[in-house]
Amino acid sequence: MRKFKSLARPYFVWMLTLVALPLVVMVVLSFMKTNGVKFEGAYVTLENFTRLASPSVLVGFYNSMKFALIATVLSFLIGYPIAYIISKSNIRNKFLVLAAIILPMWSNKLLRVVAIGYALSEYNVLRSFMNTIGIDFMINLKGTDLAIVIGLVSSYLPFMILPIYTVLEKIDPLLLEASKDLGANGFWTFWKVVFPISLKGVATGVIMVFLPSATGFAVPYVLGNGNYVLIGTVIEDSFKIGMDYNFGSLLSLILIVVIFGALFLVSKVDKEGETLL
Amino acid sequence: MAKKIIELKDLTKMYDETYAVNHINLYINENEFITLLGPSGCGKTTTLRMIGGFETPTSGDIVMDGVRVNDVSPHKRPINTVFQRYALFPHLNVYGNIAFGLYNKSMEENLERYGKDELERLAKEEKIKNASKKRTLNQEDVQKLKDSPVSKADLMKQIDKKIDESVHQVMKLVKLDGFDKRKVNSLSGGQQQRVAIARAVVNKPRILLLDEPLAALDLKLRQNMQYELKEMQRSLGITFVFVTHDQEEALTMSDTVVVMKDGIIQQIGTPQDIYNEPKNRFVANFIGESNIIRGVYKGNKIVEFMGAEFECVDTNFAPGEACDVVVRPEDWDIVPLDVAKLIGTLDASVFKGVHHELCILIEGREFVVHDYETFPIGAKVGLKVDPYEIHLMKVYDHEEV
Repeated sequence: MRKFKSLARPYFVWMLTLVALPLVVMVVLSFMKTNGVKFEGAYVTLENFTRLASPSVLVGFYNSMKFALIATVLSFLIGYPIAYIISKSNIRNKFLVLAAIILPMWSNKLLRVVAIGYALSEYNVLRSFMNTIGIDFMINLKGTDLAIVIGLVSSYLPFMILPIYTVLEKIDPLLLEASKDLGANGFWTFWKVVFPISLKGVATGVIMVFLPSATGFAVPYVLGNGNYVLIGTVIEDSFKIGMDYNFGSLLSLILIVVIFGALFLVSKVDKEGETLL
Repeated sequence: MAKKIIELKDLTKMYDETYAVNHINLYINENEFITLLGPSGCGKTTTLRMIGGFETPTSGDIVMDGVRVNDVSPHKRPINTVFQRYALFPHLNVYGNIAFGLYNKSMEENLERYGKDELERLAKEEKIKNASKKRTLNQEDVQKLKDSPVSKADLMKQIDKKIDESVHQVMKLVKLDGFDKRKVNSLSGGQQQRVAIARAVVNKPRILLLDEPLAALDLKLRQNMQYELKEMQRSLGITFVFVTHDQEEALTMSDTVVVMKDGIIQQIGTPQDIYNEPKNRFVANFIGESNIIRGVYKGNKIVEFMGAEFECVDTNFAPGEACDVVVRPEDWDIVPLDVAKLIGTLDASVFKGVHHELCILIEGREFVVHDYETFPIGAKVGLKVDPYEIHLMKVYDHEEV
């Protein structure tokens, strides 16, 4: 194994320069007032922290968490049954079914979101079809909460299904027999054996859906017609529009802390750390 | 007279076009330790799985207490299984695994198991005890509490207590006390094995099925477990159906051994029967080491083989009928050459601890003989065998020599 160790070196260099170093820079920037990335006339201050309570930040956090939470719960409610049915089914080639779920992920995510945006907008395919057969049908979801939720769920559902499916598939059928042998019927076996064991997959799925939903801004931006303030958009604006690198850095750091907090909670659920993390 | 607990009638299981179990008939008595013995693929595990309810018979019946149970699902049978790979629940600790079956039982079942009256009495006692902690009770108060009906929640509480007792009792039985909170994955093979057994017997099943439960253990542990299992079966009074391919295990533990091959029962009998009176070449070969020689029955308790005539005790052969002669290695006596019936040369000798395993060549045939002494390789050795230690078997056409 020793001789392969050196192969990991480029990776460490990569991580150091592109992850660790920027983090340090962000920490430094959060405690300073600078003019962009120029350090001329820069000074150390806690001023950035005082701005955390501003309405745009609070609303952004609230919206981000709200949508991420709803999207995660919905993904779980939809994804778990799908994963369970696939793992239980007698389909000869389960891989094909999984491929059908994964395949859309191969196209560009932004394109997919824009496509969903069109499908949900005032002039959509369904409406023109209904109109041609003479039914007046009008639905316009774009720019609503529902559109954002639909966008998030459709984007991240596969990330919920895959880990759950993997765990379910790995459950030894002998355990189910043992459970039945010990007097549990089908439902009880699921509730007492299958579901608790599959929680590890659920934990992974929750992280995989929650994190991008909470931090991303593309989906809400496109499907919300830009009307929603999210923590992602607040950060983006700080950097792009306000040229306020200090405040943007601070918000990013806080987001990181929140995410680590979430991961910590999950690791409490999954005590053996057997998730895909 | 022992009571039949389960009966297999003409039981058959086919996978595609091949017989896994081929029209077997077998009954199992209450309190019996019965072993299904055979090489892998002989249908012993399939038979066990049919009894447990995990496989549906292709044809034939499984009758339990006079009722056909072919289609009764596993969770409704008063049968529990110790699986070969244990199949412990990884998300539960030792206690959770053992209590699993008891928590699955309905309230009615638990009331019946622990006795409704007893549970009610305990619940009332506890109520009185709790009440007396708050204030001193006079005779009237006590009587009032005694007469008041016991609520369902109170009964449930008592059941939980009883379950807890049962679990700890059985943990003691399998020598796992104090292991309550341990993760099953952190246990050794032998300990996991004990959890698997405890998890099954805590339910007090009528029949316990054991599918090669000792196969994964090392020799010493396996031998210990053999005695412990036998002891457990005796003290619990549960019928054990044990599946193994290890003939020694089968002989050590069983009241009855069922030898199977290719889905067909070859012989049913006590370990002594199976060992001393094998019915055919397969059984003789499979159970212990044997020297099997083709011979001819001369009539009048005389059998001729290897060119010599021997006295024997079998009579159910016609004079001139061909037969297979079985002599166990330990039944040969090494005697001086002048009184020997057969004379051969020692080809090899292996020290086995208690005895030497001698390989003796007689007219180009190898005989395995166990003896306390050994001789130089190449020495002439004389052999003799007592009449009652010669066992004759009928010759079946399909068996090759």
